[in-house]
Amino acid sequence: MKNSIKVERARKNWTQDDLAKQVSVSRQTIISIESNKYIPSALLAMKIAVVFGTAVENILELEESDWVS
Amino acid sequence: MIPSLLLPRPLKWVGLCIYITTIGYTFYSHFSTGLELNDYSNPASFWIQFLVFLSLFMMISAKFKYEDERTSVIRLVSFQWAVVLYMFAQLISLGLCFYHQSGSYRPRYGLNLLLLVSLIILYSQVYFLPFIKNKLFKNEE
Repeated sequence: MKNSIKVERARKNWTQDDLAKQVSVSRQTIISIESNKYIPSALLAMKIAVVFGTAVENILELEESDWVS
Repeated sequence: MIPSLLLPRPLKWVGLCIYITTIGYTFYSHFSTGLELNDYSNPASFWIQFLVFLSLFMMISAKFKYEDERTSVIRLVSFQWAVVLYMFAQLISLGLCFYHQSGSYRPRYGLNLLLLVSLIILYSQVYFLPFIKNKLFKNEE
């Protein structure tokens, strides 16, 4: 799963810590999500989308490999 | 999902103190009085194992500073790995018992071992590895 959290964050000029505080998670969680090591839950994905003022599908995007089980 | 059945954060330090004291006392007793932990007639060996279990349980169940969904996933995965490693340890010890035709290779203190492995995986994933990665790769802001 691709995500554009880093891009959105840069657009808003937010640090990882700023975003982490807004969605009530640790900075390490944001680092893991941005580096695709952790896929956020639906709840967290929606929270991130809300704080960026966009839709979830603009932040998270499925890849071809996600369809292969 | 954030687990709600967690202990308050300061209990981690209480658990650590109990653990260090108990392990220190165990080593002292072993070398001074020859205490054996698998001596079921000695109440001291029961209390040592109980306190070790209690302290490990406190450390593993205490909340982290930032308790979020990632830490709950790591908590779950650490338990999973501890169980898998414990099963392998059991199998290897069983093999050794058959090979040497002796029961002295059976792992003792299984539950405490399980908790200890789980604790090591949990803390290394939550604190140690991110710290090392931060130092080595200087994560960008």
